[in-house]
Amino acid sequence: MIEVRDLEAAYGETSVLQGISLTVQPQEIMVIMGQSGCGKSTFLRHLIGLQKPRAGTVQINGTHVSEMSHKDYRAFCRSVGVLFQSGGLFNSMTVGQNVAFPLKEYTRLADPVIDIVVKLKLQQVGLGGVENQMPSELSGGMKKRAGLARALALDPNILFLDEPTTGLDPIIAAGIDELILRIRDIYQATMVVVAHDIASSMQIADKIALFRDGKLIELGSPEEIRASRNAYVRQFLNRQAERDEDGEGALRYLR
Amino acid sequence: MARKVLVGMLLLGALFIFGLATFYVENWQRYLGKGYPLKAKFPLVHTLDVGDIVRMSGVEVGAVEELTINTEAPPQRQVEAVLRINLDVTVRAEDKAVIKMASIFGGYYVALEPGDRNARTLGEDEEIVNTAVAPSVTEVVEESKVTLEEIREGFNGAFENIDTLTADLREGKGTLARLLTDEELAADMDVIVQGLKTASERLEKGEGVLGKLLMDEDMEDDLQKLLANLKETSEDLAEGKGLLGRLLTDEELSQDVDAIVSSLKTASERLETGEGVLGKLLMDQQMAEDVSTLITNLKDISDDMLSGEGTMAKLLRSDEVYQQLMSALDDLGEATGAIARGEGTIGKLVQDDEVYSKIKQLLQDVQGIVDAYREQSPVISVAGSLFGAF
Amino acid sequence: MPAFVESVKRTCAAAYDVAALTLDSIRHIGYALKRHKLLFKQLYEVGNSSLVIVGVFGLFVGLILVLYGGDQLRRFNQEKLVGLTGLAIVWEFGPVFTAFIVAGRIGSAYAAEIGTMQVYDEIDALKSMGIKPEAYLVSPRLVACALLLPLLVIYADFAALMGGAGMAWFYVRVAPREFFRIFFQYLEFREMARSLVKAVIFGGIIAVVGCYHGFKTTGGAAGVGKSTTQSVVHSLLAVLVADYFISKILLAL
Repeated sequence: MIEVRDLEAAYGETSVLQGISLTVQPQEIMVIMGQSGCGKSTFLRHLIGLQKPRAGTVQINGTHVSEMSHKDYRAFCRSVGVLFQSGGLFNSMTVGQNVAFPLKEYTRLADPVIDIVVKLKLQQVGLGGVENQMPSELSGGMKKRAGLARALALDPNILFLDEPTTGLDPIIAAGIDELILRIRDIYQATMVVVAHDIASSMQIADKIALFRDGKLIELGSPEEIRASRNAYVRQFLNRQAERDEDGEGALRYLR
Repeated sequence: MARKVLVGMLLLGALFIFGLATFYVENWQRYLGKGYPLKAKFPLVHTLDVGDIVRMSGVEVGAVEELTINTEAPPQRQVEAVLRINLDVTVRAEDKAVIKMASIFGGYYVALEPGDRNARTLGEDEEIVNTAVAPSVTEVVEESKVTLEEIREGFNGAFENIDTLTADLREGKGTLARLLTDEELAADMDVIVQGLKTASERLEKGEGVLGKLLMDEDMEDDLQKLLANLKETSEDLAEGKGLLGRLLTDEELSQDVDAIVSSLKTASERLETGEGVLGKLLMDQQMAEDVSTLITNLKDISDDMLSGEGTMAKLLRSDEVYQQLMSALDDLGEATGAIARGEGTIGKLVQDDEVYSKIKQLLQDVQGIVDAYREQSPVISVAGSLFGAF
Repeated sequence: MPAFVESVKRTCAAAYDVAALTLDSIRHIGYALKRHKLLFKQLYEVGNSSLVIVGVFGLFVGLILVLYGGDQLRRFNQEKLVGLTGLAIVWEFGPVFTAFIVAGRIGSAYAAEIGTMQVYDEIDALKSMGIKPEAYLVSPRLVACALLLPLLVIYADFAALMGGAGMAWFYVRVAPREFFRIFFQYLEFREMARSLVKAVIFGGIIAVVGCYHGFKTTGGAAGVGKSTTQSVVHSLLAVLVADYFISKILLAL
């Protein structure tokens, strides 16, 4: 369970987040939406503990993320998978080595076992046979999927995904959406997903949080969001309405 | 962010102060607190400075920590120096602190010269009582051309005189020589010595050391009488033309020896300080050797000076040592001249003691300067100019 | 005036960051030694990429020093002392020039490498896996530079002395035997040790400054280029400033 209370964040003098409070229940998929620069990614970084809040608290399963000792933080990291916006793969290593990295860091598995696990994880995200390629040889979507495979390497309880579908073509985006739902079922994982894409968000979310200029505007299930009377929420949804259709169509085509 | 700025500012400030310190602090060892302080008082310290090195037998054992001047103190002890000595070095109470020149280009250091090995070890903040200041090169080498030339001539004269004298002695010429060889006279001398012995024993029983002797009024009277007697005797001798000088040279006068010896005998029976007269004469041989080494060294150095265009000599100036040298030289010339001319009385002979010590001191001083001059290596200046070029 | 205050503030914060990075990476040296594969990779990088250029550089430094040194000494008729240029190599030219080359080759590479990682979220990815970048990235680099720079200095000294001896032979007409006799006559072990201590510290400075600029990188590929340049400029400056103070301190001790 993830609990955020009155979270405030700032870069220097510029305030980025103002008084965010929300709770993510176990095995729930929470999608954070909002315009670019509204503080979504910063919010995610606070959840992972990459940044310390200026005020407020972030608790995951009862412990304060920003106040952990390094040992506790490592234990926390072992149960958490993170997919970064650009994939976050180490460009100096092959894809296989990237996926193997957390395994080598946290387990004492023998190299052949690690090789098998790496192959399995890559197959799970539909990237069988690219272990020996360098990240630079992969396309954007493949990078994201490879990043996802690395995030899944340690069978995490909690997954943080930063824009898993942004910038990808609809087909691949839909594939990733499906993958996310499947992973939730397999790993029984709690997920926090940052996204722009309204269609895919509606598709995967149990709850949606809408941010605007560092504030939480609306929080609820996809249906509640759709039915919202809030002007900004209406604007946000409507501006995407035409493309929403396309998205639906594409998804229908996929099915 | 604010904390970062604050801590960063403190950090930079500390670095800045540390950096400044490296400009101003010359000798870090002093501030590391190793070693213990000792005091020493000097009449003057030339250009000795705080941070200069203290050496013992040439090994660096510490540094000058502090220099203070006290104009109220007697001039011989008006500069007080605090020396920080390494912990593993022991300095004894009889050791001597001498300010010496580090090189002919300048710079001074404090040399600790070992004294009595059995003396007490000095502890923290105690004073090294024996101190001295070696003459600076400026004082010695001023007008060195003339001085050295004169020294050489003077010594040449003295040397010749001594030579003839010792040669005469060896050949048994003169009365003094016979004193050394004649058995009969030796027997007489025995009696004289016996008398001296009894006299000194009596003195010892009565009063103790000679120093006290001088303080005792009774003895002083005795001494006065003795001196009067001595004077009388020598005057008698002078009136009777029987100068001891002629004793030294005239063979014929040797007949009179018995008479002279008997008068000597009477005199010496009351003479407490006659011992050492003959000894001094014999010592002259060793002195002559010293003088000849000195002259060789002096010749080397004066040649160096002359070929070195004399700049050094012109650069440096002072009166004190020049005069000291001159007076020493005068003393020496006078003494040896008197001996050679045959005008010497026993009193004159006694003077040798003073002259001897003066010459010895002179030899040491000059030897020191010669050594300092030799230690200069051209490599230092060449390396300096080489790296200065880059 | 506010701009000035702002830049002072920034400098102070940067000083704090550099100090913190230095302490952190020194604290994690144990990690670097334990993860010897990482360390060996860095050692190989440093040694392999610098070996040739350091040698060539040293050779020419030796040639030039003897060229000028011989000329100067000829004025005093002291050509036979040309071996003393070797002392200048050991004192200053060896450590400082080697540090310059390594700052150019390795320090800039560190800034670019880590800068790229920063730009592509790789640093965050490391952190999110519970790995401290100071331990994983900086410590091995710090150890590699601090260990290898003294060796490179010895190697550069050797190359420079060879060049110097050759130049002395052909140009100044002083046999290599004489060159080295003078050199070893005046070389003290203390001076060698001093130069190697300097090299270790220079290595540390180069690694930390390079990594610091890497971590500080923002703004994509352009940012990487900028921090690479800055890392070189700042390492050179830091090396020279440190050289003065270290020399001053080591000479006094």
